[in-house]
Amino acid sequence: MKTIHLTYMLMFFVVTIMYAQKINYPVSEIPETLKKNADAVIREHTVTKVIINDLRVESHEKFVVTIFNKSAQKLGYFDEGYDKHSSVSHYSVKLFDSKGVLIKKAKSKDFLDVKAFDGFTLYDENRRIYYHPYSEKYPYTVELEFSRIDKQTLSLGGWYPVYDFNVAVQNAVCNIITDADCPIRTKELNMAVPGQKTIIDEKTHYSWQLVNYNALEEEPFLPGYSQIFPQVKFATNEFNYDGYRGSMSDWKTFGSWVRELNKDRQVLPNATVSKLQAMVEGIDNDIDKIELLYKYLQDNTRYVSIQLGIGGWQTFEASLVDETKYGDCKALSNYMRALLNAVNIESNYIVVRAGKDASPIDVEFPSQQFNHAILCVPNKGDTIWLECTDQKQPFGYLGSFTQNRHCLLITEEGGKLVKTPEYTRDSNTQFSTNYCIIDSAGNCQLKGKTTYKALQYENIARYFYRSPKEQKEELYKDLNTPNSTILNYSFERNNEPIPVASRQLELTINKYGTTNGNRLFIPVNPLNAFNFIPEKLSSRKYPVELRSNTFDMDTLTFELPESYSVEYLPEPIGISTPYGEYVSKGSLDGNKFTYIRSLKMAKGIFPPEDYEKVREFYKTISNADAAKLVLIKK
Amino acid sequence: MKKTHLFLALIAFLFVAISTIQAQKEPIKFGKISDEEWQLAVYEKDTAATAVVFCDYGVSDFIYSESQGFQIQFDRIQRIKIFKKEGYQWANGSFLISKKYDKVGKLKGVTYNQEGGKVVKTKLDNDQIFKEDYNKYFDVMKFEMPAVKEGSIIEVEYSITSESWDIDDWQFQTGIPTLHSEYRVSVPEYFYYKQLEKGFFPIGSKLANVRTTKQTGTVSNRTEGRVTQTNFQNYAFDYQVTDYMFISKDVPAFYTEEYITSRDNYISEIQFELGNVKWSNQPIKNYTTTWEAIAKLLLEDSDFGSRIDGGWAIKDEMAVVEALNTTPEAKVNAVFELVRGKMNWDGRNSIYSFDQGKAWKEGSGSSGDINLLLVAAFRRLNMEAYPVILSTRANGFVHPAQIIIDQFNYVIAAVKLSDKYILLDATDKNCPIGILPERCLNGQGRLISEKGGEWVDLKPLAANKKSYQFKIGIDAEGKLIGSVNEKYEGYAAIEQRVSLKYYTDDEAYLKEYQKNHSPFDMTLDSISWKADIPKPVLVSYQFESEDWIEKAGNLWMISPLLLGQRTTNPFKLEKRDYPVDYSFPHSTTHTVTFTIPDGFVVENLPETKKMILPERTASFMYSVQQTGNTIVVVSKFDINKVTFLPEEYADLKEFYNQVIAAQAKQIILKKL
Repeated sequence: MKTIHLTYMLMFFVVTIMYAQKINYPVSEIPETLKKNADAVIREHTVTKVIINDLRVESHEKFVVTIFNKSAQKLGYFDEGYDKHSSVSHYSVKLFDSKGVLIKKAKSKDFLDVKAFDGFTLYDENRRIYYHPYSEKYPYTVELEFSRIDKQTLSLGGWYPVYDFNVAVQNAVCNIITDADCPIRTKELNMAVPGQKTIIDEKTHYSWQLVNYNALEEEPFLPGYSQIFPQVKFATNEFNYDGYRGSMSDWKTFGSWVRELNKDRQVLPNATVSKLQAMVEGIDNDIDKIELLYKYLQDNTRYVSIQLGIGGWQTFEASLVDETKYGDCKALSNYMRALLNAVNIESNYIVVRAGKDASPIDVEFPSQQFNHAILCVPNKGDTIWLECTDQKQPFGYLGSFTQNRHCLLITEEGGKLVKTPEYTRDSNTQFSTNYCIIDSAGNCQLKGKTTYKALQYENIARYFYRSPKEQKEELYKDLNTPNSTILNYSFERNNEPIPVASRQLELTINKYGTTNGNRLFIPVNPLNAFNFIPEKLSSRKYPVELRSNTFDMDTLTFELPESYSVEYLPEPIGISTPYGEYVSKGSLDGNKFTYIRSLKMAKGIFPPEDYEKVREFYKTISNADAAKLVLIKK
Repeated sequence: MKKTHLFLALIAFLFVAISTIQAQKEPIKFGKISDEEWQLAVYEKDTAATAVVFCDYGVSDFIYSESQGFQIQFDRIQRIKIFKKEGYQWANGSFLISKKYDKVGKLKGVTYNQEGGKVVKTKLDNDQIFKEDYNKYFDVMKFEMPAVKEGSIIEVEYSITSESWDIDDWQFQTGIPTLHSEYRVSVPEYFYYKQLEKGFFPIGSKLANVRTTKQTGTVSNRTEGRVTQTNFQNYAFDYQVTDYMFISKDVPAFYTEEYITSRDNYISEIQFELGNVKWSNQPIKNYTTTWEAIAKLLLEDSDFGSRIDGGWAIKDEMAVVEALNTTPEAKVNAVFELVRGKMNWDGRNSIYSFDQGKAWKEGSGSSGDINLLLVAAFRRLNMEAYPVILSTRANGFVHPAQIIIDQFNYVIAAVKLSDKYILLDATDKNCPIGILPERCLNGQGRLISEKGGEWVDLKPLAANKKSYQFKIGIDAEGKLIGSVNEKYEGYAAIEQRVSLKYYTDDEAYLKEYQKNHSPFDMTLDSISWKADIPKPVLVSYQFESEDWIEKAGNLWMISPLLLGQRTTNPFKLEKRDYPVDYSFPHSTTHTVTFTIPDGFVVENLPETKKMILPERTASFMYSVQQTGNTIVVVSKFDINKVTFLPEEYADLKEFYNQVIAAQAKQIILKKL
């Protein structure tokens, strides 16, 4: 009885399923070559942007992706940001299993519409609408579709069809249709097939396509995204942002727009002006005045991210910052400019793309490529650069955040491309001197001082932002020596454009040396051992870009226990390669062993075939830094 | 009480009765800053503090109006001094308000600075206050105090009127020291609230007293029937009010540490939950009072009780299970596999299921959707099954002495087999049946049954167990060549299965594994039983390293544990204020067999070591044996206890130090 019932029921199921099924994007339709190394395959991606006028860009996007494992899950998320100048509509999300059967279609209440919270922005109007579909059964496919309207033409975005490493693309298309009144410029990078341009009914149609693009694997020391992945940039010449019209046909006009936006916003209350003038009275050197005012800025303001409409571009009035004592990078740079104005020192506002490893801006494609503002004081040829958002930044130091890159200097005549200073290897130094007393059980008492300069100052910069309690905890975490006790420490630094900081440290390391039978092994490099060996690659595809540009030198004196004699001293090493230089040597004088080690890292771009040699260099220094002194009981 | 709860300062509520709390002087007056407060430049008890709260004073009071009835008014004044720039963040404030029930009455703030011997005031302007959408139910009010410098004193005062009878919770502790924290709550006799005290630092003093108050007014009464009438009545009534006062002084800053379960477990706090409301001449309306009442309430809830009986959504599938399985064990297995196989957990924690049918149809839902369905499935098969509500590790501990339902955020299923409960959670694809995901391992859960329910232990029924076997040969140049078998069991297998999900193929997994273990080169043999829960996961691969052996003249030194060597101590700080929590026992075994090359003799071997902490809470066995030209190294590292109290910290730290020291000793070979 029961069996019959069951069969009937199962048949019923099958019939239902067959009727309900409509197959979409089955995984079996993906060419095998695209699956290789792929965490995800973008099956179809169509972007169409219609530029109606300088205040309206309508776009539609359809994105279909097959996810092969959990690491690519986010690629299938629907997550669109919008603000006062944009809107998102007609969104839909569908989830299919590997056979292509629809297993979920999102309903409107599945979508969440929230304020985009980045953790530190005090107030902005950014919102996001999202729904994050996924399945635990891999592979699965997600289809996302939406429309958006952007009511500005300052930034049109770009087309980046390959999202990441380990992502393949089956078919991606980008179409742009522009009105005759809104011509655009375009630039292709790494595109195998150039785009097409046709004119239909006085409208220009652009079209780019990327077909069957295999997944790339990430390798160490890669050059930036723009050197590897296909992409298309586009920008208008004349643009409009919140009613503020401008032109970016060249950097000069783009700079004029920024200048116009921020014109006459440097007015300070008279009381403040007189106070500032009184402060600098008697100082006849401009540099000292600038330093004093920079300190005033650091002591009296703090950084708060605030973005409201044109506020993304227009700074707060200096008078407002004077009252509230806070602002974002624009407001604080502008405020600093006002402080200098008050004592008749000229300065220029600068927009820049900040970030330690940010890819450089494309100087040949004038457009909105910036995310930060700083200040430049020409100071009669002895230029001073000021980062205005940091209360602890050494005076005149830009650091890895904005050093050595093109940026846009805003002048009365408009924008001008300039380059921020680069910190050279001779200044990026880390020198240490250490004295270590080793007892017969291998315990070590270390007393040392390390001096950090320029970019290497950033190795310990965070300590200057911490309370003493946090400093000590951080030190314990930083020290790679197990079982150590910090007896004493101190940090010091100057306040110069090339900062110099030092750390004094006194600690005991229990069982630093390892006893083994009648031997005692003592590692020669307790605090600054290099231990990174890049992975082995069967073949290297891309150029090797080395970014470190540093010079380290460590001098260590070990006082050895009297009960032991030296059995083995590490061999001296001296290697010099285009990627860097390494020298180490030790000498014994009675029971004192002195070890000097220096490492210079070279930056540069090297051909792919150099990879193995770079790896060999890293391997040699890692092994050399692991050397041990071998003592034997007398 | 369970031992894991011992360190929490859970003290039975003893109030000191005093004559009148109402007449007590308020601890702070807005704008009245004392000379001592101005002079304080560093807080003696914590010189590292970047700012201090001088006073944080809150009052929750019931106010009565004819149109609204009772409403709660919450007032708060805070005075903070900023010592250092690192403390500027304390000048940024925010609080949540309910979209539906709350109204902000006032919000004002002043920053005080001393300039040239004079106090300069800067007011918080309206355009420095922002109301933002927080989520569906709440908005967040944010403000940034202006003109903040080192040495500034800031004051903020705000009040919220709420139509809901939720009394605000009060935290006595924050990231900076608090000199005086005071919370006053006045509750009319009609309301009864459960109070829950939490945290590591006990509340300093608790006072309570009762007073009588008088209310007069007019009330309109509409009666419905054949004729609608409205009666107006003048009234005057007396009722009693209980005033509570909670004060903590010199509360230390809460600094987070690693390996703690949840900040909320440790921060000093008082919480309130409405227990019942009783109007005169009306029956008592219970919200929560006893665990039995909570069980009843939940069982009557259409999003809880109704979800475990019926199970119509899965009646067809249950018929199949019933038909195909005979023993109860087989049925439990089949149901669990069915629900777990079909349902994807959407990551949300909940004790409720709002739409079970839809969840089942779409194969996706919250912990409530999935596990209440599991209970329903068992009940449909006439098995004894109950929901067990619990609080996840991230959500903090449940305090059985405090009957508050808001403590719970998650539900699992309990099914009775041979007179024993088996706890089941079908949200996790990788957990074997009967093994709870790590997030559920948090003290005790409450089983909800028609009989009132009971407490059940949420214990790890497996350990995190890993074993590694290396067979290594050494060639004449000092290159290591060999094969490795790794075995992951219990919670280690769960972790391993989760990480394998990040790779499409096994080679990609091993490639990434190798990146984290330079200088070893690995070639995959196989990964077995990836989906064969509850079997262990096995990983085997070939292994090579040119750079492992260190050479010093004619000596070769080999660190024997290869990639299993522990080189850093997770416990670096000198002392610890909060317990160390491992979630489950851990056991890691390494067995390494070396074959030494011709032309070499063993010069020295590391010592054998055996170390056991009191009561076997942790142990370490290490042995190195030579037979002919083979050397066998065995290292067994076990953590047998889950929670170590702060007083055990020093032992635990030293235990790790000794393990590191023992494993650091090298095998020394000498060239003949």
